[in-house]
Amino acid sequence: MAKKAPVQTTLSFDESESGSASTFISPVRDPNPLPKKEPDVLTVSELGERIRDILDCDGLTNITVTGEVTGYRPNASGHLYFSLTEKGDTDAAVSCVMWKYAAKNLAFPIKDGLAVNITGHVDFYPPSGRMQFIIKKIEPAAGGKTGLYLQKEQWRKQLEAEGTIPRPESEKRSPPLFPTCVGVVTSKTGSVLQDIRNVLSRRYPLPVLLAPAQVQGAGAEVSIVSAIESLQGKVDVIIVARGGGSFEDLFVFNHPDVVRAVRNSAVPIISAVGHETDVTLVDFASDRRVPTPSAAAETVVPDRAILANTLEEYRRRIHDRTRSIIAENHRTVAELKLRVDPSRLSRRLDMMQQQTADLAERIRSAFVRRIESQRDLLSQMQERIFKGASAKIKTASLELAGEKEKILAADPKKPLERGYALVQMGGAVVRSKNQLKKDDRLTLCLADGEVTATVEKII
Amino acid sequence: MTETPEPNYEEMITELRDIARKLDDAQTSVEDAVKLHARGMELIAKCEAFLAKAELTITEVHRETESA
Repeated sequence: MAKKAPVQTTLSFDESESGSASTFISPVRDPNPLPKKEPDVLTVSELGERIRDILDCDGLTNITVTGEVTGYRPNASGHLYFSLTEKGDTDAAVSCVMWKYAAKNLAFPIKDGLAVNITGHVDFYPPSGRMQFIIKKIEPAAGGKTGLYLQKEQWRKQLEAEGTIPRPESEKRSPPLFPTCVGVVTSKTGSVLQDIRNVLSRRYPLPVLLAPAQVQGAGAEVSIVSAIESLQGKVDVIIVARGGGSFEDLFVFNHPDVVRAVRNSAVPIISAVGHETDVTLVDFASDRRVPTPSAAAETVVPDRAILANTLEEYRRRIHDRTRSIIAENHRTVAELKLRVDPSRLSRRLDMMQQQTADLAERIRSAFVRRIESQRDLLSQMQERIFKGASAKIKTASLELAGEKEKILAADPKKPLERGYALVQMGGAVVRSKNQLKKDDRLTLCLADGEVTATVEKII
Repeated sequence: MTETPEPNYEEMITELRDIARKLDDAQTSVEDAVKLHARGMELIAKCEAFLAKAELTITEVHRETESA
């Protein structure tokens, strides 16, 4: 058995130093000088040196060995230690170490049980007398768990490239709140169906359509796809479930055919594969992923105890509201009754009558006032007209008398009374002797009549 | 008289919700309120009966691929 302490010293060991391995040997040799040896007798360190020289040959450098990882123990410093083993008829094991600088580029996590191919060289470590394989490169071996891991990653990339996963949030459908029938794709045997049955019985018993499927092993993907397809159009929601298991056990739920069938299902699908920590590719294609089959059953149906409470709540609410509406209407009717009461109506009529009378009186008195004021106005005007007319008449009479006087004074016959005569000839008044000539016949108007005369001489 | 098809649970709950909403509406007449109340009680009784009678049955789907 290798002791712990010397192994720790390998931490500073590096491939690049393999040529100066003597530096590791000297501390062993110098403080404890051995007794003088016989020729052909080697010290342990010389043996170690010789082994190292022999190991440094083509057959043991840059070689690839296949096997399974066991006793994997990563060191805090970053170096990785494990044994590569071979199981079968001839059990075999070799100690391996992968130095930090080589380990930092690992493409996948190393776990016990992984089938790997390791490439590197065999070395001998004299302080512990151990032979070990120094790994430069490590790869998953075909068919091993790591191979499956890589296969899953490859499928993931392929399904992502074709748009099958992840199902966009907007395309995640909610199953009906009250499904009438639930479809289950799982193994006919096993606890999954029982778990689902228990939850549904308790929460919301309903018809379950089981599409039994082989959930692991060769051909499982065909079985699952066929089961999903067989439920289309027959149920409201499908639970695709499998109990917990190893990565390999759950591996079929990464299969592209299964993932596509889940993505293309016309019925919403709840995926419940393995446990909380297990994520398979169907989880990215389903409408909802839940950690366990029981959780799936809880997701697809409501709890009838809660539903019963809700119904009670509705009953109370409907009762209360109806009662309140009836009470409100009672109040309204009572109010209306009061309003149509006969005494109330006659009071109202009296009041209206009073109002009518008041209005009539107001109209009448307003009319009278108006007439009186008009009458006053009329008499005032009459007075003014009368006064104005009297004055005018008086003035006119005076003027008339004056005029009469003037007219009377202007009478042409008035002077005749005083002895004057008005001389006319041929009807025209003669005012000058120049109008006349001898023998003209004249008419002389006197106060009491006319006489004719003849002009004898113009003087 | 032809019988109208029985509404499913979801439809009954939707109708109940609608009845409760209408009863909350101040415009709802007393005649309607009484009718809504009767319908509400009928639906609640049906829903309760549905929950009480609910039964789990597990049937295996018949697959053509298997029968072939």
